[in-house]
Amino acid sequence: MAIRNTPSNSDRYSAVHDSAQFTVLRRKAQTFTLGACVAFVGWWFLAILLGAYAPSFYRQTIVGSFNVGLLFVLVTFALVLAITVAHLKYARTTLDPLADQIRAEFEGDLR
Amino acid sequence: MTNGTAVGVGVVISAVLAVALLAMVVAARRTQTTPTDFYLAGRRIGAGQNALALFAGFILFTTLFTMTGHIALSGFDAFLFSAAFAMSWLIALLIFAAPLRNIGGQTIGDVFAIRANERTARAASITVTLLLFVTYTMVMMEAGGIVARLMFGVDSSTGRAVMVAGMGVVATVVVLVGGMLGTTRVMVAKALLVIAVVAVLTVGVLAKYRFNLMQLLDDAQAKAAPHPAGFDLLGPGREFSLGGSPLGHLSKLFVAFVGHAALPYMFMRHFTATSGREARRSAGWAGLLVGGFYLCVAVLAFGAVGLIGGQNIGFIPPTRDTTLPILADFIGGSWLVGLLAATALLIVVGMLAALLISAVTSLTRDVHAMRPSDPAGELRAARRNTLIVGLAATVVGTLLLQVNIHALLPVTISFAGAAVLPAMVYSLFWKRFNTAGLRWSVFGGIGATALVFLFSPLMSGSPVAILSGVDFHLVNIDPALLGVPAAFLLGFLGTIGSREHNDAGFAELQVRALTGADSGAGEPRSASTEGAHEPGSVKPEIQLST
Repeated sequence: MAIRNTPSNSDRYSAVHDSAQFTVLRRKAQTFTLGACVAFVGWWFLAILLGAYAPSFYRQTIVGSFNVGLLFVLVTFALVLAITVAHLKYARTTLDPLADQIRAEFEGDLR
Repeated sequence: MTNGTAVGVGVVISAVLAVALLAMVVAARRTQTTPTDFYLAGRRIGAGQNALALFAGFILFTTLFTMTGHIALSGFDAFLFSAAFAMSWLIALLIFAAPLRNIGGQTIGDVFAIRANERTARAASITVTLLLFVTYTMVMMEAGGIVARLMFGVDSSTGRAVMVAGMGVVATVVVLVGGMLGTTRVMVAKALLVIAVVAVLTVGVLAKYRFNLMQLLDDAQAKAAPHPAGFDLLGPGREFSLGGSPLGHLSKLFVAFVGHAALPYMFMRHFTATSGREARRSAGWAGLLVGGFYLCVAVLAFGAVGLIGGQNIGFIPPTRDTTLPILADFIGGSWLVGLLAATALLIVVGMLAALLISAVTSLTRDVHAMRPSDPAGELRAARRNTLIVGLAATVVGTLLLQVNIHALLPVTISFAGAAVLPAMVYSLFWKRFNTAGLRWSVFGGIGATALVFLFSPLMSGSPVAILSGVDFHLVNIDPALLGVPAAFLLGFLGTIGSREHNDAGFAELQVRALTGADSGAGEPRSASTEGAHEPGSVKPEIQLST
């Protein structure tokens, strides 16, 4: 750690960055993040635009006073739960082992 | 609702809490031998405690009291608004938590400085952190004044000023003596108290309806205070119809979503976790706590309407903060109102402390990072800055109690969305991003947001405006609706307008963010050398390729 940021160390970061292993890790991490972001940002824009411009859709009754709008808000909360759980699981089972491997090699080389 | 018994109970519980927490804060002082101990509790906070503290960082007076009243009054539109905050945690989890902790910085400046010119990175970090500290702290102090009046029956403005000043001083002492560890303990206590109170109230409300949610909703719909334009409680319209266009409420729904995760004092909590993985878990759990919290708040709000009647719980916006205490009185009587009063006090003090330590960290760390490493001197400077900033904020906040500054709350979240989110996303994901892009996205984002704010109903021409006597508003939106896209655009234009780029810095940032290499986690560290080994304490070399 004490020797970090010297030019040779930054070459080492570049070497790791270009390695096949890291490329796999980065692609997996970013694909998941991008996919999840598209899903929840898309959902959120849909949910709020419907509220703003299609209020009669939200007012449709499902049962008693429970309407489509309330269902959409509940789905929003459920989506937070689903994406959180999915991300924690994916990161733990898929990303962490890859990261551990790269890190061990990187830090092992330093010593 | 705030009768003598309730106030008495509130005072006694608050006093007991104060003694217990100050003892914990004093105990935390022993652990501080380096700047990192002070700023980040030595990065020794486990995922469970960190999740509770993150959750507590989200709980403002507004989050609990105003939102209950808001949903009770505006129904569906406000319930949808509460979901925006829960959604924002996904941004915190997916984009910020683990990568930022893995990079191992202490401020957002440490993240920016890996890729951009050090001076620009530090200036951006200090500017953003202090700007948001000032606006948010003023709002928290105003909330302190509301707590004093609403929950402790302090009617005189002098009495309120004394009480708010007291909260500011206590928060300063918490940070000065306990550092981040002390602040974290206060936040964990705050989270547990809020969860307990909300759980008791929710079960109380549900029990009245024999846990039949449909009946609760029917009752709320039937007993809601009538809306002037005839909108029902559970359908959209009560907020969307304001100002003649749905754009106003739409902008709030957008701003809360993009801005909340990007508040710098929330980043501090990612940095305090023991590793990137713990930061990820704590952000995930905190997001789920917030989701559960707002579902409970909706039950409380709709339950209050159904049980007590929309006309009896503060049926105009200026008095909606009273909904929750009225409900507490209805469910549990004076004892529960007293407990709620103590909770409200801890909510404000905890927020003041969390904001103060983020400001002090940036002010000290971002300045000292540009000097030769001197951990002992930096720790002294951090404590001195705590005293200066904490007391100055207390004085200013107390004086500003006379001014209507509540509009600064959405403005702060707007600033976070515009000044921090684009710069962070570019830093983490865009190889070409450079110093000029950072400067343009951060300062341009602040400028664009300030400009929209100036001509928004938050500044003039509405009951909540800062200058309520005049009206020169041009647009009816929350500032970040334009500020965030503007900051992304300016960051892009600034970047491509400059030929500088730092490919090695980008490689280093991505490798560190994704693997946790060089994050300092899991290394044996002795207290005496820790400060010198912190990432960022060695000046990164900027490679210019032109």
